[in-house]
Amino acid sequence: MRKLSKRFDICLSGNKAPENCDIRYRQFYWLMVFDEAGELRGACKLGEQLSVVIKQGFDVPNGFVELVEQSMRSKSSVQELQRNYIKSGGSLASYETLCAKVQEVHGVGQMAVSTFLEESRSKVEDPVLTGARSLWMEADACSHQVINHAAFSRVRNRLVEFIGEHPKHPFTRRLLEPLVDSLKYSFDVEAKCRAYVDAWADRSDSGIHDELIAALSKRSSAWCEIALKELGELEGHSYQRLRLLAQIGDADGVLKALEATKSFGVMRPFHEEWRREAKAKATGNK
Amino acid sequence: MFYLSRAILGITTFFALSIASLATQDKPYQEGDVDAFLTTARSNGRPSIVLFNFDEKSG
Repeated sequence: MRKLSKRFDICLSGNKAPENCDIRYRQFYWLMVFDEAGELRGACKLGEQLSVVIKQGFDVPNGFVELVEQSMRSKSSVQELQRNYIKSGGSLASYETLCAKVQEVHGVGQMAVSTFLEESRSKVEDPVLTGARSLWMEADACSHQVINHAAFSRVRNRLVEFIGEHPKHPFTRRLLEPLVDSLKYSFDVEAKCRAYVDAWADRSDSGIHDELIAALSKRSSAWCEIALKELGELEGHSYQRLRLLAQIGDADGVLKALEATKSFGVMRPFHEEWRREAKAKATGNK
Repeated sequence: MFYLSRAILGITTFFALSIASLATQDKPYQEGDVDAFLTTARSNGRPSIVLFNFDEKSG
């Protein structure tokens, strides 16, 4: 570390991540390496990658140095690839290279890359496509990061809005997949999808959304069928059972299961939402 | 899988203890205020390393 400090400035950041470096799993130890221009070259879960280099014959201190060197040997920084994206007018190749870099740095800063794409819309050839890519990136970050009620809610709203606004864009249909995925912690998935479908149908009377409406309805029905099947195989009270009951919109089942369940951390806002929506549905059904 | 996670935990702990032991000597690192740290490193044209979740207390 002392030797390394002659070449690199080193910071123990505690539990504060650097700006634009959103982190997927905050309970792990992370290493982030920045070049002279302050751009992110590499990032990894330290323990996991140290194990890899130790298996290659390094001891812990030299293994750590090797990880830093590997990052510095990386061809480009995240920011450089972002600049290339704009320079190329938002080409597919530059987008794929950027995505590969996000994977290489284990998703560190993925939300920031999504924001970058959203803000780049006016600087590229196909602003709608770049907006869709931004959403895709954000949805992917949500589904891999620690479960976050606000993040799911935000991406879901953005997806619904985007799809409603750009029904004919070739990329739009692909966004149905992250939309359904963003509903995995929602109460009554089918009802929510019906509401989206109604909202899209209201936007135009030319049937422009018909294909998307049919595709989403099909997906949400399939999703609920799977949930019902899984439910049949589960016994007793469990978080998984509660979540499936919520997905299929079984109001009484959810309210009963919530009484027997202790909510913790990240699930608390979801449970509150399910309780509220289940009560509303149960009252409405009477 | 169990042994792998134990090994990772062991390695990380060893690394953390090494950092903690450095804290008793003169420090080759800064602690906290990571954004200011990065701004300074950038203006000095120095590459930098950030270790997230590490501090002098926990190592």
